[in-house]
Amino acid sequence: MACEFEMILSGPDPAYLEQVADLALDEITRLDGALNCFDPASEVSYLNAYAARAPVIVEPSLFELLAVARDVSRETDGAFDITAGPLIDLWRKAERTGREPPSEAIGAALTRVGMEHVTLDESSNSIQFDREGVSINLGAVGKGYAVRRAVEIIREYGIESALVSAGKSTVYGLGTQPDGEPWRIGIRHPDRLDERVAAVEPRDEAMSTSGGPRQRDAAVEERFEHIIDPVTGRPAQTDLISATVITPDPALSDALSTAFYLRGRAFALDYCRAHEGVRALLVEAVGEGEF
Amino acid sequence: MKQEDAGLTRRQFLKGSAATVAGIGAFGVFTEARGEAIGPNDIINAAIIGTGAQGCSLLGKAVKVANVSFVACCDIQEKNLARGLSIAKGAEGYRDYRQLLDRKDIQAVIIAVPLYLHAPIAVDALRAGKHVLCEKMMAYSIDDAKQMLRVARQTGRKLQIGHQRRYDPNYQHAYKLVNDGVLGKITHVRAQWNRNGSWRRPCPDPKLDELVNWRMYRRCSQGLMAELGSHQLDVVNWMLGETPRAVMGVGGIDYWKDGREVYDNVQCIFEYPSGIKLQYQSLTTNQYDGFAEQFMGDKGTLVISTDRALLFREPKAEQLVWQDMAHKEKLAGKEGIVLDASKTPRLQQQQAQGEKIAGEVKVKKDDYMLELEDFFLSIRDGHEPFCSPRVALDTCVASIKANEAMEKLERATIPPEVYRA
Repeated sequence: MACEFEMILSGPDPAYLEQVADLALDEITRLDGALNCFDPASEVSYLNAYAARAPVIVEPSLFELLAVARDVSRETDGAFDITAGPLIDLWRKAERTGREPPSEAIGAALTRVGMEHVTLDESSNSIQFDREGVSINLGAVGKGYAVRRAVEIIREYGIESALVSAGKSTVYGLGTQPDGEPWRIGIRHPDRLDERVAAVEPRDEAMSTSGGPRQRDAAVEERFEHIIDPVTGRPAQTDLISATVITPDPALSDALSTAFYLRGRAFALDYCRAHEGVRALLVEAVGEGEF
Repeated sequence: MKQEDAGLTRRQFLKGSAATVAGIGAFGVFTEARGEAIGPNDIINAAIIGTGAQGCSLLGKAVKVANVSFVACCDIQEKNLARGLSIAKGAEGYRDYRQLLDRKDIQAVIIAVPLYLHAPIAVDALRAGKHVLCEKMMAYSIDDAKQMLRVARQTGRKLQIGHQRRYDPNYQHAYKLVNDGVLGKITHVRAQWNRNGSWRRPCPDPKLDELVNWRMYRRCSQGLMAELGSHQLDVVNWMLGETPRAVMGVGGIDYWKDGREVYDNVQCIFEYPSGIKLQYQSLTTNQYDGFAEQFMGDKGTLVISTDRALLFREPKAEQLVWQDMAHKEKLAGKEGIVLDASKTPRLQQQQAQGEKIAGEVKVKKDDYMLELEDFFLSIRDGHEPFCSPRVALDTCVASIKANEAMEKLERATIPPEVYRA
């Protein structure tokens, strides 16, 4: 997942907390191995290689994650799509060469993109693709899912106060801080990196942020917007600098932050109004945020 | 003592890796005394006993093996059983493994239970007519391990032990280089598995601690030498083609004073009949050196770890022709050649020049998957699994003797008859 996972656990027995933290981090490591499409030995690589030929049974966590991804894809009209791998590869090569891909190449890649090419069979935990060339990339939801699993383990062992962070782009606040104060997470100003445009206090909630080049790292010069629209096949054209989603499920917040960033302010506001429990903080080009 | 089967033949390995989702080659032989043939496309009904963390990890891969159906899972803990059943959808759940073994339709069983239960359950399974893949280390005691091997012989059932590193393509590649003499005369080996963590799982209920943390208790576990060391002892025995004749060492409970009964650090020296010495260490307090085996010869050094292998040439050794084409990297300031069984020399050359190769490997089966495929293939075609009970017994003997040596603080000799079953 190419990021650092950090956690703060609070409780009376430090040795016990460390054991639980180790267990949660072991699960994250396991998921990293399973979900990484750049690792030839991963479960996802196996799926991408064989699922067009015959149904491939996957382990329950991967199946669960793919089901979440399918549902979010439906609800966002394809703005979030884990089959966008062929497009991501195309624009990654473009980033190296500095040349935009030709329209024919984008068109060809688009024929292999779309959750309609993926069939999930819950009776056997199996996945099948309806054509060769379809591939799954879980980069936009994997971190959120790993945080979800870590929090489940932490809860299972009776811990009520914790903070779990995946690369600081998805954070989960479990309960409150030991002194009863809420966990407090700041959203960085896009230009003045030492300043915060807002603070969020997630309690048994996750928050995930997706953003353009300025949000990610001001020092990195990028030729093309790194978030690709799975519907158009081209880099995101959005009125947002960043989108932060707050919701109880970290996998959902991770996925929706990408969709909101892609589709922009109006889409994000409509979605939040129609879905209880989902909130968003959007940073627009003028530098003002809005819930 | 020389090992009987020092290496996986190319034919056996190709057979083992040929199984895919689409099916396997066309052969079918009589594999059992009763004359029951299992053809290449016949479904093998399998089960798993022990669906804790390791069992579920294995099961998650085993359900992908072509023409194998998992029909039953067993675990004494409800939570573990539920997890196993969520992986093997449609399988029946059992809390008592004997009821599972009573089923006539089950042909193969994977056993992933605490070490002290390996022998009793494996022996019961073999006597019930099942082929068995048992997690490593083979058994808690040398006598137990020998009994498993004898019962497998008597029943004619396949018994394979889970030293899965033998199946790793990088290790296979390294084995060829070692046996081609690329390192020259090997004089020493160093191996370690160093981690930083208590190795203890959280257990809110103290009454369940022996069940959850069995690795910490002497009546259940042989500690670090079995749980970690046995993997590496097996690799070294395999690479060298011999087994230790003596061992000495020291261990202790020096840091994790949490009531555990097994050492939290071990360091041993094994002597091989050829004169080669193996230094072995496993720590739970520092992970700097991580996991690796280092074979030292008068012409070169081979360092193998989980995801790569590096070959270092001794200054006075000749340069081999292919070394110029090889991809090189630095490790601790020294330049070494990166070995990767998945890449051809041409790909290595191009990669050294910084090109992205379209033909790069996108998928490879990991060692667990290859181990599982070998097991089920051995049931179909009758070949002896690459990790046979014979080689697993050798590893088990060496690990247990190391523990005895550390316990007594004496050099323990291992005469050949100790290895005989």
